[in-house]
Amino acid sequence: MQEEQNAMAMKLNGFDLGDFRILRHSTKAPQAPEGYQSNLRVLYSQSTPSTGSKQRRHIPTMPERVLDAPGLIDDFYLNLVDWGDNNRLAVALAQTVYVWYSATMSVNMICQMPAENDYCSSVAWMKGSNYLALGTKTADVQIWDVEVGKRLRTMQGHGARVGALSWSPPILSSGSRFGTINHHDVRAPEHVQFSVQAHQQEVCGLAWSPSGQYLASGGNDNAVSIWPSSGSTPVHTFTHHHAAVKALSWCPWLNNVLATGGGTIDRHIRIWNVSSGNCLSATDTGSQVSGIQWSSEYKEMVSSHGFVSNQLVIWKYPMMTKVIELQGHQSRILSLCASPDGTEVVSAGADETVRLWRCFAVDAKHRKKPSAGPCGFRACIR
Amino acid sequence: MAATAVRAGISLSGSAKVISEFFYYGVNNVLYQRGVYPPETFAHESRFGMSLLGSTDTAVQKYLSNITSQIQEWLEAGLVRRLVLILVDSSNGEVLERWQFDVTCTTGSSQGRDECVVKKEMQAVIRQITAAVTMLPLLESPCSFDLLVYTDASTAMPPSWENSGPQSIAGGGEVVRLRSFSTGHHTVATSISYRTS
Repeated sequence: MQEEQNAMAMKLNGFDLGDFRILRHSTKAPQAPEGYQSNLRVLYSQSTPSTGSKQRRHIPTMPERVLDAPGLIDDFYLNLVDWGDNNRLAVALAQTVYVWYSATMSVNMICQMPAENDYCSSVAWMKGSNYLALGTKTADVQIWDVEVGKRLRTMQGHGARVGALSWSPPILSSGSRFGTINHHDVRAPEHVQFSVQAHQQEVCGLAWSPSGQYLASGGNDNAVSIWPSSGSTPVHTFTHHHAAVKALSWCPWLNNVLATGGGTIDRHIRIWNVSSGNCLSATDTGSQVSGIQWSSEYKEMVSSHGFVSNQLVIWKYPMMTKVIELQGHQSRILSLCASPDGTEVVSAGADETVRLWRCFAVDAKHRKKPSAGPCGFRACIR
Repeated sequence: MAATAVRAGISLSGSAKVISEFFYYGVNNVLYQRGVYPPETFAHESRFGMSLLGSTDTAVQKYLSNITSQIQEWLEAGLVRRLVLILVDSSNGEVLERWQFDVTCTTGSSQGRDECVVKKEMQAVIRQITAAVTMLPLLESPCSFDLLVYTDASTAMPPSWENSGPQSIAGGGEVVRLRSFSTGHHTVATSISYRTS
């Protein structure tokens, strides 16, 4: 017996343990609880699908606030809302322009177009100020001091309604139904710096890059043009879209990256590197794109859509995977803009509502959330 | 010259204590990693400068401390040759894994090694045990464990202990050697054998 044990010992570990005996405790070890099944199989098997990637933050699917916007014109080519750095939202409802201040929930009427057939066709706040630019159907561009409630300037120069505006202070660029873009220096008496025939049809989207180096313009002729800050020849013209390009947005954290969205027949979001002129990606969204906004906090973008779902879609950049769809509008979304702090977006829809979505809320640990009223609060802008 | 006292190395009894603690936590770690008991029944404890897992189940704790205190006695007397943890399939009693800790006692008045150095080596072995688990085959069925102590043939049989066979894996199985560590009085070498189906 000892011989056997020795032989076994040699085999087991290659050295002689000497004379030994093996002892064990008489009682057995405690049993695992009844019905317990180790979950190591889930942890270590490849075939089991993982329960989703990194935990996604909570994005509320209901808007934080819904505002009544009676009389909002259902016209794809107009840009009727803008949220300024002063944290005020300008909304143009036909002939009247209102400003809504979220902190006090107050609504002020800024102006009313006197003429019956006139209406406001675009609004744009000048960065870091209380000055609001308005484009009208009668081809005027007006500058208002909202704090004082006075119109500072009326600038003519276009032949048809001004549907798109974009600031690169002190330059204000305006785009008209005839396809012309004017650059106005709002300080000079001779305000029109220069004028270009940018598109063959209505200019519906204008956006200056954050650096002020380029102006992107989108038109009903399906083209996107990139203009240098001075000069009337475009640096690039992209004709990839098959429908009007109204949604234009520059990436706030990457230099020279532009996102564009196409209308009903096109439905694509395209991302461009403007310095090289390459299209970095094209995503079929399945629906008319009316607005795009970026979130540098989360490296995401949100797009607004029309038929069928009238939804907002949040995409992860650069993979362009869908994070979430936010539904609520009863009719197509016409415009999208972002809050100055980057935590909310506001969408104006043809259902005559303006909805605020808190989709890029920053972690409570870092920021104190401003006090919000109950969800679904209705403030009537009348 | 600064009059700093030279740190005394571990004593023999200190070595025995450290090794039996190592064994206690080593076994706990394996039980946790291999899913023998539900993971919720384990809690973190700070030992050897690391956060280690220990069972909170009183029955398991009692069982293990009983055995390890006996092992500590034997270590001091220089009687322990090897400690083995075996994992057994509860349904058919087949030995699936064998965790083997070979102990060599350096008899005589050998100087114990510095505590910090020993701690570091032990940390390395425990981390290796955790890492080794990922390459071991999945344990499909519920398991129970058993502890065997190989002692010198002359060791007296304590009450409530009994003789046992080696409980080796049928066909030998695959063997993996891990690092060893030494306290100066004892050297511990770890290896794992597991069944290949």
